[in-house]
Amino acid sequence: MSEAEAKKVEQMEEDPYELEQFHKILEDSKILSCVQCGKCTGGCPAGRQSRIRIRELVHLAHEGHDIKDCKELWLCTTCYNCQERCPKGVDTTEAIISLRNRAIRKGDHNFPEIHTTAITSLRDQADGFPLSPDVESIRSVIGLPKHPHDLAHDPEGLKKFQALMDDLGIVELVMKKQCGEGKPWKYVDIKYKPSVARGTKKEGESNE
Amino acid sequence: MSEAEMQETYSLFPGCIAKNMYPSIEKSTYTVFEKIGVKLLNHRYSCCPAPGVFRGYDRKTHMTLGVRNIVMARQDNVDVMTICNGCYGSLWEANEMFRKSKENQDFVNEKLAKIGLSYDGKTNVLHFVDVLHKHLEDVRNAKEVDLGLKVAVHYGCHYLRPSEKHPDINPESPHVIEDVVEALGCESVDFKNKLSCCGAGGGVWSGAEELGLRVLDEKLKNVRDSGADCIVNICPFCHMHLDQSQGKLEERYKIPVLHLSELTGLAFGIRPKHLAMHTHLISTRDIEKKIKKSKKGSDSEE
Repeated sequence: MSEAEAKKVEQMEEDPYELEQFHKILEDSKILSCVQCGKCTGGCPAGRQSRIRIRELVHLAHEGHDIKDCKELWLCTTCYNCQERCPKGVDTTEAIISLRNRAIRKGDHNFPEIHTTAITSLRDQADGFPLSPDVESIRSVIGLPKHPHDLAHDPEGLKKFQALMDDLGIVELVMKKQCGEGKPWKYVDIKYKPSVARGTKKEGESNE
Repeated sequence: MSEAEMQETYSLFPGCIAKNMYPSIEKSTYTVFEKIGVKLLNHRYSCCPAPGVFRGYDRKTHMTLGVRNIVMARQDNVDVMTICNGCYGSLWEANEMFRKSKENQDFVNEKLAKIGLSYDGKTNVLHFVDVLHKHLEDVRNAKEVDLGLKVAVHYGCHYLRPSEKHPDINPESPHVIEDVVEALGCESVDFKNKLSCCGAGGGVWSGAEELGLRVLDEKLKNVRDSGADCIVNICPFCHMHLDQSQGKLEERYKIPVLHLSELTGLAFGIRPKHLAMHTHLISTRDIEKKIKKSKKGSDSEE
């Protein structure tokens, strides 16, 4: 996103809470101390392989631009190299995470929608990566309990956990944004299919 | 005195990937810690929750669900031991966010009260490699075979960074995993950008797959140039990306990937079959053959 395209939060933001939050992000992460030395981008493994430039994102935020629509915001692997190496002590990675939070609250349509499967999977089964029948049997063979001693296999605990998640409103927050404001939404029935093998596939086979 | 106070005891936080995808990692962890005299308990944990997605979406949700997990161990008055950098980063940060802010404490405890729980911030979150490192002498004593492998150590990001987690470790030049693999009779080889990311974190693994694969490709190229027999990691999420995404790359690296608990298990003489090493997508058979050879060598010396 070029500077000309980026809009100023000060002029665009109608919600005083969100305006305050934006300033809080700049303050908490010490973005205003940035001197644009570029050390962050120099050590960025994602920057070597894609168009994310941490220095540019920090610059835009520093100038008060709204970067919630920047696709690059979602290309950071949160490796913390930039934050560790910043000579001015800017918490760059924390800023990226806070700006992602803001993008989600504001209804950002650039976030990777596949993540919604992880969110619904967590609510339904208390795990980001649920257990499959293949692994159940492998567990038994090597002397582990077929079902792990976890929340997914504790119906009472799971119910409480779901109540907690609903109270936090994370599913609603993300799904509402996914479906768009004003449109009906519900707990979408996404069965999470990890694109990975589970010990039954041979090396070299497609993982899809 | 309770039993927990008599023996060094932790609550094992296995994490989704180890228990649900790589049971070899969970199994080897139990075996290894039993052999070095550390007791591990189980609690009803949920996903940590995955930092790449949940922390990026809503920090307070992430913190609250993380603290709910920590409370399970708190009830038995034991610290949490993770075997994954993602879980470690998640729970460590949830704990710190809670400890540092009264506002966060009130927020979390108000939410937890509704499901009959509360937290006082007294539980610590540990990474298994630090516990292993503390028991280096026990590791040496429990070792049955000098593995004789050249290994490429992969720290992963969230063990080292942010560096507040380990004030005693230089995040640009750590020597923790190296000490453990050397105790197991391996040589840790140096390679370019050794401490850099595998490419899976921050929601990139699923959300920007191509980028994740490009970062992985760079990493594997550097590992191959080092001449290592395998990669050794301390994070099932890195492990999964390093192992399972290799097949999606144009270049066929076929570099075996082992979690440090698996490597330690093999050095303690556990048979690969009993660890379900065949669940790895990249075959570990060459490694197993080399270990067998080392074992024969050391047996005939005796």
